[in-house]
Amino acid sequence: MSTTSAPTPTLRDYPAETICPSCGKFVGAYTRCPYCGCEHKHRISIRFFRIFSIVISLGGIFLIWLAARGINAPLIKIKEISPLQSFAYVRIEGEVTRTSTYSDGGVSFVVEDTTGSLQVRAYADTGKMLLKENRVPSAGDRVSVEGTINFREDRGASMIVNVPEKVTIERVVPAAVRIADIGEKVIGRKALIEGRIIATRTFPKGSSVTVSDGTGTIEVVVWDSSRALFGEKEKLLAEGRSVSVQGKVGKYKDTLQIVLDFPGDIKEREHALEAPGAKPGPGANAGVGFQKTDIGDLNRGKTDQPVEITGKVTGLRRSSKGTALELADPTGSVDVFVWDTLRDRMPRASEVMAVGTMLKVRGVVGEYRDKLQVVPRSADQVEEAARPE
Amino acid sequence: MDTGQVILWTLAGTICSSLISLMPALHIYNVAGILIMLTMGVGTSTLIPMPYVPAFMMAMVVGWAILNTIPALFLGAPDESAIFVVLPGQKYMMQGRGYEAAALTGVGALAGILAMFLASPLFFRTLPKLRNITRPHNFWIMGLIITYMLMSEWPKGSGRQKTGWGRFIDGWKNLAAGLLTFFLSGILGIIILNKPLVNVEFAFQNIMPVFVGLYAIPWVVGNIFSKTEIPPQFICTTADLDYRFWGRGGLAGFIGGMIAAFNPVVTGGIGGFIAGHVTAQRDDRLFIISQGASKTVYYVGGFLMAFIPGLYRTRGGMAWMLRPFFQPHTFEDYWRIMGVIMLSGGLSFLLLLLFSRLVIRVVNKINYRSLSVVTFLLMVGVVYYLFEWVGLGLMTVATAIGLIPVYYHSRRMNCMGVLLLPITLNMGGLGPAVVRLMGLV
Repeated sequence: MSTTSAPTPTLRDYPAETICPSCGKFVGAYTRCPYCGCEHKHRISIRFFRIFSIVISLGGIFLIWLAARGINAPLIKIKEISPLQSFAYVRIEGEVTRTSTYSDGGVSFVVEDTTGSLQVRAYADTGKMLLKENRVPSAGDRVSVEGTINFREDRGASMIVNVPEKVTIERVVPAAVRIADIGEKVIGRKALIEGRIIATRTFPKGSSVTVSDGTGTIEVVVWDSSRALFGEKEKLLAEGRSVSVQGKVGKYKDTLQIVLDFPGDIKEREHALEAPGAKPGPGANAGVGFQKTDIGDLNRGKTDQPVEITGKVTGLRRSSKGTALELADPTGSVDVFVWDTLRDRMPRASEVMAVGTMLKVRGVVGEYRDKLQVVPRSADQVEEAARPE
Repeated sequence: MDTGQVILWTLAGTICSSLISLMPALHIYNVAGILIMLTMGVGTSTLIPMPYVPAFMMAMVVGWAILNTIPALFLGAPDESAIFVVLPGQKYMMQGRGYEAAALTGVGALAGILAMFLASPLFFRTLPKLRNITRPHNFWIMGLIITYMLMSEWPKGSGRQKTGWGRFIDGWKNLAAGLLTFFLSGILGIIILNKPLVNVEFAFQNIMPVFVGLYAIPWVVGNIFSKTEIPPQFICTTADLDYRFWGRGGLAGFIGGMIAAFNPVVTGGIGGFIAGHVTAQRDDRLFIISQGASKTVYYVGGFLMAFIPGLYRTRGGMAWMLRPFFQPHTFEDYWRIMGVIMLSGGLSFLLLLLFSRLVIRVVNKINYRSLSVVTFLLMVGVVYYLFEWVGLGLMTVATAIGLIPVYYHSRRMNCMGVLLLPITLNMGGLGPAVVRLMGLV
């Protein structure tokens, strides 16, 4: 005799509402599970929260993005910056007093408002973009800068700029002035001069060109860190070029100078004075801009002016850094001071700089120990002259 | 400088941080930030004499780095750096060996501190050079770390779906959640680092609402809705360990911690994760010791970088917070702070054992859910006080992002995209282009 039995029902065979959704046990008609105590009604699917977390994330970021687009960085006074504002994203406005560039492409400048000054820095990548977009301010320019405040106990506050567009510049283009009119009162301010480069020289951290406009001469200094940016404009820094230059006026060892920071601040003059048949380049226009003068006509009124004199060497005096040649013509005599660095570059220096030699010298009139002197700035400005018939 | 005062403030910092570490989801950097705001508003400390602030802060970091194991193991609230301790730690706890697991992380931390002391002469000579060598390459180093982090997220689906598409979706669910978390938090980071949304007055804590949202709130919310019960625990007097294991685990953790401490933006969790893979430790004991060492070296070593003469490296929240008020320069500063680390480390280890016993005794008796509610309200209150509604808004969005890994079982570490993405983009010179693309200029 065989018997058959009905299959035992499993939990799967019961209606879903009779199974506890939390512990999975059979609870029949109960609305609260007698095993785990959970409520069966009013439950929310975890799937809802999973989707909700993504939706609220996306929606929230969209709203934050919208809000961020409409918000401008607050304008603050430099004096108000405190250590607790480190990492604050703010805006400052003021005048640039100094600008520096670094070999890796980084840029920094100092902004001064009515309450204080703050260094603004852009690291290499941003610095390169600032230079490329001509957004690096020069001394004297007015700027508005947005960036992040960085505070260090030993260095105080500074600002880091990450986006080039956050630097807006109101360029101050000064009116062209005569070199003779540049005096102590314009130190720290921007000046624009127009003239011809009559000499060039180099020194350990940079180079300089001497610009003459007929009323006087002034040295224009270009630091090596800046010179690297000049590219094609480097050609303009050659002797004989007729240029207009703007930069901050400074003073070094009692001599006024202009600091040229950026290639945009030097331009070739449209109506350059060219010597007939001369080509631009080192030495090509060496004689242009120098006024032929009798030695007897030299006086203090001609200080800082480029002159060309011809005479016979009547005496030599050595000093620690150069040689003073006494040059005489029928109208008088004057000292010509030749720096050793320049003498080293002169061909046949010992023959040329000898008593009895007739010399043609181009240089700038100066004064040393209450005595007038003419100082050549490059080796080809001292040359042997033909003896008068 | 008075040595007695240095010791006094070291003890105070250690005890203070040990108490903070018992509060689930409360991070030492947030508490330190609030402390600085309350006491150093005008640039000088009114509560702690200024010369002793570094000792106090360092002791807080050491205490936190060692004692945050307790909430990670017993209260289910690990911070980002302790995340890898949890898995083997939970296994130990379910076997009634939670106390031993806590002790193992502690001995790992001591190994890490000893390694930092022994490596000090090496720090002076090699780290400044290493920094100069790696600085131009930080962009691609960071890129590799991000790629490694994202690619190592593995599928956790069962693979038992009926259709091919079902299995495909199952496999990619966690990976996609990881990528989504990383990029959403990264976008949030780009926005908040490039546009001011919070009060400028307390800007040095400007990322706090976002971090609270990404890490702290999801844990607290999880704890409120779950019930923590731990099985009976055995308080052992010996550990399943010998000195060889201690050395191996400590060295592995030291390497991982130093990777995190030295490289910008890399956190203890990421460092521990890399160290775990590099050293391929299969033994749970080694793993727990190495993670204990790794997170201590990350927190403490990162802050220590600021004291290494000639290195000029600011790593970790505490160093950034202290920088506007104090800048160490001399070898004397370094050795003094190393002394603080060792004193605080020893004391913290003893406190770790003491508090572990205490927590084991009371965890099933206290209403942990109420504690989590109090912590939640405290965090919301602080964020509102400092950053008002904007701060709460940022915190809410960050919380939603922080919940994605919870619901989709991906790594919380991906939330570090909030710093990794914008900073790596900036290092590579791509930051401005992305900011322009997003219309934030």
